[in-house]
Amino acid sequence: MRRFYSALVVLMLFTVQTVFAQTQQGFVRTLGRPDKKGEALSNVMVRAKGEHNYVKSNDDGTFSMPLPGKRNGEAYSLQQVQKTGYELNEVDFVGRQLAFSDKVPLTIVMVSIEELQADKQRIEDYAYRIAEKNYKAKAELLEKQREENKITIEQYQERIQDLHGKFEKYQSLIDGLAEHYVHTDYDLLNEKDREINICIENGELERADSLIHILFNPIGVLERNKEALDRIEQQIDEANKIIFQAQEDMAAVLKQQGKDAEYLYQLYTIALARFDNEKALFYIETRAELDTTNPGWQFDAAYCFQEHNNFDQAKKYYSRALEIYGRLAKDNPKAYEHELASTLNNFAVLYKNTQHVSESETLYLEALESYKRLTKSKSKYKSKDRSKGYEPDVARTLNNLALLYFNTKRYAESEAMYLEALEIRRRLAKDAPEAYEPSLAMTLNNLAILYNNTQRLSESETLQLEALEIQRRLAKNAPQANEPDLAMMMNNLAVLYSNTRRLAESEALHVEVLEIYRRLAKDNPQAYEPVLATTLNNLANLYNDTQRFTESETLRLEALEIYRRLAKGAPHIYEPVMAMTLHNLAVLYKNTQHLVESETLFLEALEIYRRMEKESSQDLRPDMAMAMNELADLYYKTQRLEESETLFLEALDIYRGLEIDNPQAYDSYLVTTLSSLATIYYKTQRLTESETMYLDALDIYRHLAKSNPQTFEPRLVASLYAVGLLYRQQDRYLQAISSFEEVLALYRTLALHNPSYGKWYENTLDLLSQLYQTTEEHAKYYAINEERIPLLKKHYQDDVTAYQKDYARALGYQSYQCIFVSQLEKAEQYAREALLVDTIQIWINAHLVAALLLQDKYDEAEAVCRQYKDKLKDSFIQDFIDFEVAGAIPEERKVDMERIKKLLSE
Amino acid sequence: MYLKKQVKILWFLLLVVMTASAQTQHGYVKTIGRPDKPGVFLPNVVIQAKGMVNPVISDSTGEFSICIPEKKEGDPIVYLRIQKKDYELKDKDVIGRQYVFSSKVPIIIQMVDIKQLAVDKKRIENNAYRVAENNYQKKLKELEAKLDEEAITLDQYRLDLVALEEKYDKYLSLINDMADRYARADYDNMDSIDRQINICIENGELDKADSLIHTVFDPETVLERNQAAKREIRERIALAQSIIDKANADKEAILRDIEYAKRVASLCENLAYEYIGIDDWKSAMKCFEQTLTIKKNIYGEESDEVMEIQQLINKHKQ
Repeated sequence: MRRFYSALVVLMLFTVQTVFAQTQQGFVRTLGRPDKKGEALSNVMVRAKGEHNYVKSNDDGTFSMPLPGKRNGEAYSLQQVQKTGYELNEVDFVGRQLAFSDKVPLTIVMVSIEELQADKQRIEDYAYRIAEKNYKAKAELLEKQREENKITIEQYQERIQDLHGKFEKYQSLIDGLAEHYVHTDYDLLNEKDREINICIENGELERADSLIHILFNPIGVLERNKEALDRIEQQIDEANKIIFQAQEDMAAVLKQQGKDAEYLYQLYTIALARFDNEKALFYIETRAELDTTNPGWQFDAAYCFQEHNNFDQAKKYYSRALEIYGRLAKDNPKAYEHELASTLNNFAVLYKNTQHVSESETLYLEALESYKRLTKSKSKYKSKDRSKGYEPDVARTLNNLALLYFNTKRYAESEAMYLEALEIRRRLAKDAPEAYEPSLAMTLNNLAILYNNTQRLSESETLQLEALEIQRRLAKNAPQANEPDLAMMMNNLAVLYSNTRRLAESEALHVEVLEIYRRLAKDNPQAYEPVLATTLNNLANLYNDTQRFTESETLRLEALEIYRRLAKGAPHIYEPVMAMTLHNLAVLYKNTQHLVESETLFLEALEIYRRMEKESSQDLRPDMAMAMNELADLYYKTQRLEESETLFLEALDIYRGLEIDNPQAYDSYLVTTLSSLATIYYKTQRLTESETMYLDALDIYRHLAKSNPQTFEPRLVASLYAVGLLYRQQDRYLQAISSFEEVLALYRTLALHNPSYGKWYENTLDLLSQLYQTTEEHAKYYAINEERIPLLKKHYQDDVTAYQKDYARALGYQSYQCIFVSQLEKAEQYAREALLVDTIQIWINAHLVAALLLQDKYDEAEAVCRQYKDKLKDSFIQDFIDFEVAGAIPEERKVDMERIKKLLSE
Repeated sequence: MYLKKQVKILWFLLLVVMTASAQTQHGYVKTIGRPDKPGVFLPNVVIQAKGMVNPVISDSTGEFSICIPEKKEGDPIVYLRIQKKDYELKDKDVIGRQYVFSSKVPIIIQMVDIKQLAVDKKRIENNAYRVAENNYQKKLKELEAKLDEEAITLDQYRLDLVALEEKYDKYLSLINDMADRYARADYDNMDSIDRQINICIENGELDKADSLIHTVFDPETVLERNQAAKREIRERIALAQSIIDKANADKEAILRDIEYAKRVASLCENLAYEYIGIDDWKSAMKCFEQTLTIKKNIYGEESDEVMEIQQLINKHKQ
């Protein structure tokens, strides 16, 4: 299958203003009171104007409020500050213009409503008390003055009224005063401040007054500060000038950097043209390092490293590019989504090539999402082909993802992806056949291979035919570009036909493929000789299957010649396939009885395998073991049992090793080795070893036969048969019987479907009947022969002379057996038939006599008896004894029997 | 009625002034300069940016003006369409990318003649193929010579051959992109040496290009030089920034002092009311005077805050 990916090179110009999200830090605390400092306040919900989301203050009262796009000093305001049971110390704090700063945190002061009211009440009480005291003192003074007549009653009344008025006015102020002091934040006040405030709160005005005047001279402070402020502004000015200059310098450096980057790119292309890839990589890497925030440069470096199989470096640069593009695409999808998707795609390919399947999958899925987003973001300004521009990418990513799933055997997911890709590519190909038909054909082909692997062969065929039709058309128009894929697809279909035994169709296609590859290989041997050799092998297999060994041989020899040549250039790649070809050719020679040639080739193949096993990272043990099996079989057939045994043992060793890692995968091969060894041991009379091997083989055969009865039941039964023979030879009759009974059951069903098993079925019946006879199991013996006789009869009818004796004997034995089970009529019938079939077998007359006698047909019995009296006297007597011992003779017949005995002794 | 006074905290704001009047982004379209043919201004190019109802068209001198309602200096601007028959953009990515809207800095749009581009590209490609082929043959001969002299084993020779062919293939796969890039190079914005270098590369005179580059550029030290320069500038900025931070902190301390003075003024004022409450007018007036002095220093003689207190004093003096 063709792995289809195209990585993308992206070059671009950067003129972008990046906008970073800015954050205003903040802190919420409670109001500081004289007796209690302000404390951090958690769970306060704060929301800025124009923002949708609240931020909540943490346990330490802090919060971070993102204000995207704000610069230092820019104005913002709060919309809401909330916590149950609390209110803002300054009500107008919400809505007030605040200056954004990413350095200076914002402090929000809140106050507990409950405490606030208690404090207010307390302050009001104080103030009221003081006012009242003052009022009373003044009223008393007036009273006294009036009593002492220092003032007139009118004056007194006027003054007392005035006093009262002032008192009321003051009362009305108390609320405001209390409100003010209750909101005073003692945490902000220094010591002096606090003292003054406390004095005022407690109504100690004189003391407050003197504190203000004595301890603080704000005028001096203010004058000092004015000078300092000027100095500070100057410093900031100068610093800003430095920064401005630095920024200018930076701009110059960046401009130079752009130029440097251009030189590096030029050097990179020059180095590539000189095939100095190490230098090229150095240049492109240096460019990436010049500015690690330039995603295009990172991407180029990553791509270059990927191309040169330096996966670690490629990973490093792709990670950087991905991180940057991810961020940029989030803010500005229109401009960067494409680059993001390309990076994801290439990164996914990288991971796939380094066998990081799950990472690769994740990235492919992300790339897919990204391409899908691009497809959706159609703009009316974009020309038609551009809006369609990303559908091919979506399809390609789907195809790649499907391949990934396919390679990890997740066929259902793979199929879903292929189907989606197929739908898109069909649509694309409809509008622009020229551009998209090649990839449509490829997807059809890929999906067909999936169906092929999941045994949905007819679906696979339909798709392959469709793919082939497209590809033929393409190849007709542009042979150079499309013939290779055409050949590949034809080859795939040919393999399918060969697997479904449509050999003629398969052959026709193979021949066509071969022709194309021969042509291609002539122009470009390096690219096409390997596939040419593969095709030669495939076609040879086909000829082999149809018994056309000469043609097969020719092709295999050609393939071998190619592989021998290729293996010289790249032994690690081509020696294994060369060995495989040697093996196949050797098998062919073996089958055509060219045993010497076969052996030579097997030995060469084995030599390669043995050498490669030490050097190569590939696991060639399965192939090696197979070659050993074949050669061992060859030795066995040519009676070189010792060599055969050695090789079989070596193969066995390998298979047992393979089984540890991959149980049951090699069962079918292992079992062949086991039974072959068992046969050799049997032949060389090492019965114990033979038995062990057979039993091992049987275990595996039973298991295999369950899943694939068609192939393995015949082999299971053959082994069972051999084991049965082994037991019989050692007089272990019961074990032999149980083996053969199993054999019988299997052959019975096999023979039903396939008459060629009839012979074995009969043999088994014969063997079992002999065994039952030996163990004197009459009932079983009788039953077995009942089964066997009709079969023998059929053979006898087909071929009288060959089966005459066997059939007659079988009938004779069965007639004897019938008497034991009191089937007297049958006994007579069998005996009579036996005598008709083979007149030589006169001993059967003894059974006939017995049968007649026991049926109360004395006269007939006597007639037979008289006829054969001389020849069969002993047989007659022996039969009677047998039946008597077995209790088969009823009392009323004993008289007749005595009469016969008497007659015989005359 | 006495005025209720509260401690006020003033916030000093650095307000960025934003003017709302519509601004115009000027620009012009030019073709790229080629070695034998400097760039020309391109009329009749259709240009449309996001937010524009109708596109504008460049005039006979290639100039155009874009006016978008509500666009302000420094806002992002995105071009959606820049079209002219037989021409394409030098950098396709101009479309969709964010630029900064400016009424002062004109935008320069560079376009290339599609036919010219194809011709140049083909020529550059052919040269590149020729060079690659020559180099390939040269290396091949070297390898064969080595083999003949038995400087390398047959196996080594085969390995080297495969590696060489791989490199050759990889280079060929890159030629298309490279040729496109060089064919789009703008010679108008190059100094003479850069022009020479580019011409050499386009013509496949790589050795000459290589030595020219090396006369003006050292790839081995460029990274070090670049990073040292950046580091030095960053250090300067950091130093200046630390000065600014310190100054701002000092300023804040002073502003806190002023805040404090305001609070004292407010305290004095409140104390004055307290005195009035107990009918001690002399002390009250003294407090008002004090308040007045402080406020004069904070807000200036003529300020509203000062006048307000002055009025209070005048009123109560009576």
